[in-house]
Amino acid sequence: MSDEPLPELLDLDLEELRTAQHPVLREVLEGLRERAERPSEMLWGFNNAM
Amino acid sequence: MSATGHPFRQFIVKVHGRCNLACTYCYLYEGPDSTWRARPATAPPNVLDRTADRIAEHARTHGLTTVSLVLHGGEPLLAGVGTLAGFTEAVRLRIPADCTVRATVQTNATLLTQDRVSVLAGHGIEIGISLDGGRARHNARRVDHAGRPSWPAAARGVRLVADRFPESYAGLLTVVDPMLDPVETYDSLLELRPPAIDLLLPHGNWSVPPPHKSGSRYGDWLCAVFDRWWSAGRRETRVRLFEECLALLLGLPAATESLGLAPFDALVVETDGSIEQVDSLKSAYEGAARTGLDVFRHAFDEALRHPGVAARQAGAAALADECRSCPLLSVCGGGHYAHRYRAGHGFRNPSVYCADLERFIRHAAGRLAADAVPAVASGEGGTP
Repeated sequence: MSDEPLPELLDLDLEELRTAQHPVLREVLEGLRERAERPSEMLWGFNNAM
Repeated sequence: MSATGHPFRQFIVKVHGRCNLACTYCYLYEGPDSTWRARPATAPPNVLDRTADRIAEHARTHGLTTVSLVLHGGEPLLAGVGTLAGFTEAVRLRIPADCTVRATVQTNATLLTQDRVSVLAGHGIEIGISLDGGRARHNARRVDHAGRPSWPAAARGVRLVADRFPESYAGLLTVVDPMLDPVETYDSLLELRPPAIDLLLPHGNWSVPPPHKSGSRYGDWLCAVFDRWWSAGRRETRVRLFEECLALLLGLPAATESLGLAPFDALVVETDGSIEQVDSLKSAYEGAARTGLDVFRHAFDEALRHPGVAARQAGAAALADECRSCPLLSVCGGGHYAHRYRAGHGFRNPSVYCADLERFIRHAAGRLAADAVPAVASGEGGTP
């Protein structure tokens, strides 16, 4: 296990990232926007179901 | 959050306790736990009725506005779609008026027919399908009790849902086989047009390691699929593991048992009404999921006080020291709880997949850091 820290990603501005050039990232962020605005009751963690 | 823990919001109900398949790697029927043998094959009406009451009671007590109802097994279709629909409706009728139910059935797809899927769809039950790839050879371990491949029937079932009932198609659940080509496996899953997939590491632990575990082999496999998914030019499907990892890297809440420190808020009701923790714990040892509670005598709130449930809601406090001092802690979260088990040492250990998780998380973080370039700030294009 390495002690190297992860890249500084927590400081990224999610609103700025909405215009990200990367198409998959842009689509993923659209889905994450609601989580950023308020914790969602629709985050269900059970792995063995879709 | 109440003083006794985070309320349950996801209710996994074993409507049937047997399976028509005998997958060789099944953590439930081929693992160390045999509690299923003494339980009824089918959940009787009084168990389902009482379970519906308990879900409603819990929703009311905690003011829940949404709950997840997962119809599970074994193979839940063995209970009959009428039972699945009737039970789902019973829950919907009993929960508070301002609470909605998201109902899903998780099936091996071999028993899906036009009529059965119509009933499920008509009752707003989404269909999640367990498949390990889109080719017969990817599903060689998914056999019936006579050793015959389930693929022909499963393929018919999944294509039926994808072609005729896409609005009810929740997605595909795939157990990673590191002996299969990752990109080929992923591409074959895309051919089944899932709105979402998840990639699950096979259950194992330090005492019974996962198959073919070596170095970061599983992590390498996930990275190959990640790169294929990330570089596609558009999001061809949602990959739950990848998207939850990205959410965590960005400091957002996540929804997976595989990563993160979020309190785990699912519980299981078995066919005899027993209240249990999730089946994956049974991959560790006999009775690992037991709470001693049941729906006839106990409200779900009593399960919140069970030490096993509390441990899964305690976040970093439940982790080994080396996990708590790891720079990946907030993303990895120690990985899946069941993968931390070591006989004689409980669950307070790193994951048996520690090297794989590190490999994958650092890889995803690197790609995100390289490509998280807003258009306004970019001089040149990002990764194509």
